[in-house]
Amino acid sequence: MNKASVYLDGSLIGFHEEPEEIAEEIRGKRRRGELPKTLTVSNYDNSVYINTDKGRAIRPLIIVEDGKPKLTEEHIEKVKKDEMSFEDLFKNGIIEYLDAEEEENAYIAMEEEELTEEHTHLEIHPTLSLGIPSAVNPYPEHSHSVRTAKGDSMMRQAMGLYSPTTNIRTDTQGYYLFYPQKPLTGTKYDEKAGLTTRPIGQNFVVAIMPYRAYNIDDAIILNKGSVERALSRGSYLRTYSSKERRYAAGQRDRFEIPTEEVQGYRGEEEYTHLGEDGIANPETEVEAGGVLIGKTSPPRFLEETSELTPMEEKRKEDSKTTRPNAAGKVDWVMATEDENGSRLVKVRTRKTMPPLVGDKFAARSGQKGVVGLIEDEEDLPWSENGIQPDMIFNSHAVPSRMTVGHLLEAIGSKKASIEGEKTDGTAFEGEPKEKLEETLEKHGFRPTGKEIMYDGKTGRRIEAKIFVGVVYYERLEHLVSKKIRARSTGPVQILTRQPTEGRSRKGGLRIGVMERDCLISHGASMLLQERLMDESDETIQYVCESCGSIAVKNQIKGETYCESCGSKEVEKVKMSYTFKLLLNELKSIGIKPKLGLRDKA
Amino acid sequence: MAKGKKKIYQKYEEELPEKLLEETKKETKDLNQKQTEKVMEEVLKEYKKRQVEPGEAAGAIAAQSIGERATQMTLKTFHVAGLSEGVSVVQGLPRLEELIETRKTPKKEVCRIRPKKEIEKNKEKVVKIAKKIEETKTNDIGKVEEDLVEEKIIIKPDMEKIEKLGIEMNEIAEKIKEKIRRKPEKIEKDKIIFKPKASTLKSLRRYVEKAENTRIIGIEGIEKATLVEKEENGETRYEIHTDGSNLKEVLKTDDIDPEKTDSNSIPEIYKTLGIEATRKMLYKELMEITEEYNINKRHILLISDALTRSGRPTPIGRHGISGEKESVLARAAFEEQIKHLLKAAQKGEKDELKGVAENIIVGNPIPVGTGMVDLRIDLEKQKN
Repeated sequence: MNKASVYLDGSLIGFHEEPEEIAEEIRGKRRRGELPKTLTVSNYDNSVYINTDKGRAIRPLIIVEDGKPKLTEEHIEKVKKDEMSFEDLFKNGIIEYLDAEEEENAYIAMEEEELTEEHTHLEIHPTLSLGIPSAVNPYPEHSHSVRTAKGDSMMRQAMGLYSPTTNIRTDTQGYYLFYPQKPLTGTKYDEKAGLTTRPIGQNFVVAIMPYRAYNIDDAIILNKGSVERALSRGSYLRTYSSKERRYAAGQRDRFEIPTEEVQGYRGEEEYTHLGEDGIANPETEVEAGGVLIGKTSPPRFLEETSELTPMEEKRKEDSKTTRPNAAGKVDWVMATEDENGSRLVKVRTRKTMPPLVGDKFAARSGQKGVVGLIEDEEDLPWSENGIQPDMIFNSHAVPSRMTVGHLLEAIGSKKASIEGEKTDGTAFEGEPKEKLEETLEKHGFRPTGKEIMYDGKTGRRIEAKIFVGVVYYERLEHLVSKKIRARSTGPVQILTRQPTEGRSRKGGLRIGVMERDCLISHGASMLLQERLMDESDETIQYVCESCGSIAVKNQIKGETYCESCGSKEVEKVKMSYTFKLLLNELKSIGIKPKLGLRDKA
Repeated sequence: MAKGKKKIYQKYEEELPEKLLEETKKETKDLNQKQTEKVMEEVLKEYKKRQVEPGEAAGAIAAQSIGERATQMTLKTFHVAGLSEGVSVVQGLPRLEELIETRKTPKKEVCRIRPKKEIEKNKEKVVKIAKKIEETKTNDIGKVEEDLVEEKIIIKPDMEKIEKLGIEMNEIAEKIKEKIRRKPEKIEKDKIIFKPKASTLKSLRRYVEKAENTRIIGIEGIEKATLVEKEENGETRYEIHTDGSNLKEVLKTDDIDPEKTDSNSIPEIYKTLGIEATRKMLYKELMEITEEYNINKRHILLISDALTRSGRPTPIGRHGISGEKESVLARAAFEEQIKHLLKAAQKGEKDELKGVAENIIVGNPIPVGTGMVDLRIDLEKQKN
């Protein structure tokens, strides 16, 4: 009765009396190479789960039997001599893949010395229990795991050289850094993970100190000199594309410079930078909303061609323009054909993005911050050796977050820059702190990494010694210039006549219900009135005094009258347009709302 | 009292509330006339300072004050569990919701019974009351057996248990007799035999079931009565907290102090003690929950007032305060727009635009704070 259920890829396929036995047997078959090596099996809660499907993260582990790892020196020698491949290790049952589910049935030792009779597996290397981002993170075991995880996830947002073929790619958008560097404190996995060929940041000289209140709350200060020398400078690329579409009756779009006759003509200046073929010339400046690809479309309905001008077809302007807030230079033009044989043109624009106040930077240990000030080089503190920091980072950001890895990386890279050799910061076996200190001392630096510094403004010595190191910083893709927005007046929604929402639509910032509640609580009635009415959807409507419905004005005759009762006794009333809309909607569900008028106060 | 002083007090009679005046009178007893005058001036000043200004959005502020803390409570709710109170009570946010929605069936009802002053320090006597209150069924004190051959049911109480509770066999027989409406055939020393006229097994079983569920002693609905020790002025006194509540019957019990006995069930308080008691109880319970969050009691007072204003406990929300607003637009703005609009159309309702929500919809300044005042021209003065 109490048979264990057996599941294959999540569906019940049968029952078995001995779950342990069947799981062991399947495992044995896998180790002998009779079953695929990516198949995993686990048993718990009186059920056996066999998984063969895609999408499970699996990782290799050395099989342990009776407290002895199956992998011996002999095997390693053979692999080194190419007599045996990694693949052979699987076939001979020395290494196997486990997924997260089967790990529940395993007892994995980190180091060979720890092995006991009970262990079932041994890590090939302790760092293999980490993912790629954590593995390339220096000294992660010295920081709180949460911080490391944050640092790992921020690596994905870093500007860098994400592809070596950036110059011939047509990604919709992308950023790349002008002078990416390899990290000075790296790990053994840097090369394998591609961090050396496609780096994600630069090595900054960082002084850790509060600086005249400009780095409060995780803000950072950049050196203007460094910024001008292209520190973290990068480009923003965006690709626009347009097609020559074909329509019925042999009509089609045309890439060309639209002529004056074309409906929706933008004016001559708008097309000056286009070449003869209607496509923008490379290296010309384009404004936000400017034309990149001149295109005209045939009229939507053939009837539109009036009988008076029989042969002339009035074409429509249908040019591809840059997005609002996205000016730039034309970087590259690609002309080709799509699968239907229609002409397809892609135009890539480029904009240089130097670091600005408000841009986001982060170190790999999860210490992120926003630029608070780009300080003139001559005003920044300098050390005894005359070194000025690229960045000043607030010391208050460290204690509560316990990012010791950040500081170790700082002295690690400092040592590396003195010795001219990379420091190894691989998890669990990075160069120990004592050794770093020793080397620093050997070269005449304080082992703590602290240095005497002088105030750039007064020239006086700063009383405290300042910790100076080199840290690998990433510039993240959250740039202020892509986020900053303000509005005085601008477009409104058609239906409600309220301001639009969103930066790309030149929208306003919404006063939501909670904000509204706060204004009510304050009794700020007039402010609320201004935000919700005067600066939003205020409208003047004519209201019939006798029947209370919305009246109309005949603009030509200049007279107002009520359409429902014909009365001419009509008053101007200020109301929100949404209220007028509500009245209309009420009519649509069969309710006739009436407005009673009364003199104000 | 000196005549001058009396005059001073009289001067303030109109401006200060009675209770405050009484209190200041007591405090200024030993002062001379001049000092008293000064004190009274100061009292009036402070009193005026504490009054709510006209146009203050008291309701919105109260709602925000409680709402802000409530969001913090969601995180803390599950931390406080099972203190030494004996009977576990619903606490934190779930309880707050229960109170504000004036739910008909609170999750855990508790009666807090205070024995009379003379015996509240006597543990034995209090235990006796607790035993008397706790609902005890035949099932709890013994077994009910059936005799299929003779068509009898036999009640076999556990003699030890009865003795502890101080129940006589006759009493048990009497209670069961009432319930099954059959006279007992025989009352023996350790068993009672009934012989109902039950021809079928089914009907006999029904009698057994009935007999099993007969309440022998105690009050209906009180499942458990627990003794709770309380320290007061260095002395221990005892209270009884019950699982399940039946305030109406509990108040009838002897040897308890009905004035100090209460229940945490708002509907029950309303049923037995009326709306004023409900208001006070709501205030007390709300204060207890929000104690550690330090909310000004005025907000809570306002909320208890709002909940009981209509003469019965009114929940906040669709079926209560928000759904019963005067203005159609305000009601429609909250929930069930179509329903409210159609009903209003049927009745031909008129919206006077007196509230906040409807004025925002229409686009008028709201009648709160700066929106309450208006400028007018004094025509009389214009003439000159």
